[in-house]
Amino acid sequence: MNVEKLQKSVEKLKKELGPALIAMDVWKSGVGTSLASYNTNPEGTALFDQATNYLERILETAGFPELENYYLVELKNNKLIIIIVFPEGFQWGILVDKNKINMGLLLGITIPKARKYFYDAYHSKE
Amino acid sequence: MFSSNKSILPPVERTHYYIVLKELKDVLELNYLGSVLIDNKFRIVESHTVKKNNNEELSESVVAVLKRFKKFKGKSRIPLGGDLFPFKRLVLSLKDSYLTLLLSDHYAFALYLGKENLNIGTILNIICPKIDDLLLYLEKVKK
Repeated sequence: MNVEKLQKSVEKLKKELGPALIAMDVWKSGVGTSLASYNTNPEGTALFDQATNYLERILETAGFPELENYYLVELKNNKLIIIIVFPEGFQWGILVDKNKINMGLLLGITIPKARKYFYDAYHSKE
Repeated sequence: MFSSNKSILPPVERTHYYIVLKELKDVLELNYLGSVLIDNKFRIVESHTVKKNNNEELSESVVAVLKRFKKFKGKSRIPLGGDLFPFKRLVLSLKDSYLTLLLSDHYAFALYLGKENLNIGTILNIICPKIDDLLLYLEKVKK
């Protein structure tokens, strides 16, 4: 994983999302180690690492198909969290202000871009 | 078409519930795989699935998600500036389906949908507002 390239990707997405972006973090699943981030903290990373783990276990126990691509959590305070899940054992979390974001842009452009940026960094040597 | 189990909703509320459910099914057509309404004591109020044997799986997994996420209550204020639980909506993108969960003060409504030709935008912009209205109605009549 090219961490420097990943951090540059976070900076690129930060510019694209503008004032809608509150925080962003890319971490290793199960460990919660942040690889690249913007305005985040270890508690937030640990929280979502645990949430994803719960969801994956519940889905497996209930016999549902596994998570593919992402999940969204809309909070009561109009904040929206997108957790992009990578089968390689990483997660990319994005926290945005729902009032300042175009959902079409977020779902149709930002998520696919984050996936592309991740794999560019993942396959790139440091 | 529906495989249904018990209901503990009063008759008028149940009729309204069924009208909304039919509306959802008309929009979703073959993408509709099931839905469940659960109260805040984790009791199943209404449960319907296209395949009868999915009823239990759907209800159990929704209750499990709610119980797990309830543990986050009060623990997520610093990182998020607000609580992770109770959330407003949770949408899981699964391998061939979407599992959507919406919460109000006393209820949780989960919708299990097939993914084929179904845009996430349709779920967020068309389906979820209908469920929000249903939950709002159920909250209003509960008071």
